[in-house]
Amino acid sequence: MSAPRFGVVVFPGSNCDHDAYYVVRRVLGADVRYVWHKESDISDIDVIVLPGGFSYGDYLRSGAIARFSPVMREVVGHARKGKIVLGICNGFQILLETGLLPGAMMRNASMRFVCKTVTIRVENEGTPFTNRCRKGELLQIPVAHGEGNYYTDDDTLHRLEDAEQVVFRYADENGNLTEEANPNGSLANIAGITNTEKNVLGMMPHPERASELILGSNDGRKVFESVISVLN
Amino acid sequence: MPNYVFNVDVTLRKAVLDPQGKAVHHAARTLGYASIAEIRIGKHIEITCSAENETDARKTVEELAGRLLANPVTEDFRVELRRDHVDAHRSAAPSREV
Repeated sequence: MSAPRFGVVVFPGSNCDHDAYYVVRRVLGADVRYVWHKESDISDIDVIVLPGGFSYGDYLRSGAIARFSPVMREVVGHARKGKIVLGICNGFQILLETGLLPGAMMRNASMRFVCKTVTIRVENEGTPFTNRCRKGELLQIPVAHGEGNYYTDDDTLHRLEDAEQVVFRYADENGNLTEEANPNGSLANIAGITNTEKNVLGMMPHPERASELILGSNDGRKVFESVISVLN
Repeated sequence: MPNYVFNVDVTLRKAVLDPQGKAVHHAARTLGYASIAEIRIGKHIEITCSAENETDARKTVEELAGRLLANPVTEDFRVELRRDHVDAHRSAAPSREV
């Protein structure tokens, strides 16, 4: 099998697409191309990355308009085939709006845009995105969002927890899930979840901004390395 | 086909905490409005829909509201016909066409 190929989707208003592309190509040396949001054939892609940013200016709700971009029909098909989809920040919001992941994002409880490095705890190391991590491992990765306050109803939350779909939670430096460590008011300190099949991950922190030590942390690399190792 | 104008109000569901509404409520209390019991903030959207009749127009607008304007996980929506616009259109249209 040939090396996995990544596709970074570019919506009008995406602004972390170059960072994701850079990490995959320059830091990890993997194959990657940009995917314009109007493309209708992504069959050459193994891993779809929905990057961070402000697609369509966050009009109406974050991700609400991007969800109807032509490429999203292809992304849904890609996911249904069991292929890998990684949604980061605005990408996570788009996955929620699309229904590939359950729940919704609300305004941060503080009503403020939060931009800082946070600690997240790996809750499930058995996914294609975390197989290079240990359960309970703490990762230092930045967040930068105004709407990262994850919400879902109680039944869905229990289902997510029972099926180990909660992959990352905000924690303090000792790994405790405290209110102070939660940057946005997310339900149960949730920072990232997968679908039941575990091939679609949405996460608010930006692993592509923490993939080289010169940027303060390279913990985010593990997410990309996990995906590459699963496909090789 | 006549145009029908609707008001669509999108609000957070009752079970969902509305931090924006809470902050504004707090400010109202600070101004001395002790009688204000609650403030919830939502979106107001005006939609003009061209259709054969009111029923068809409402059906289209409600469908759009459910698919795009509101997120059913966190939001409810209410669709109301703007009677003033319908009447204005019907009475004004013939004279304009002269």
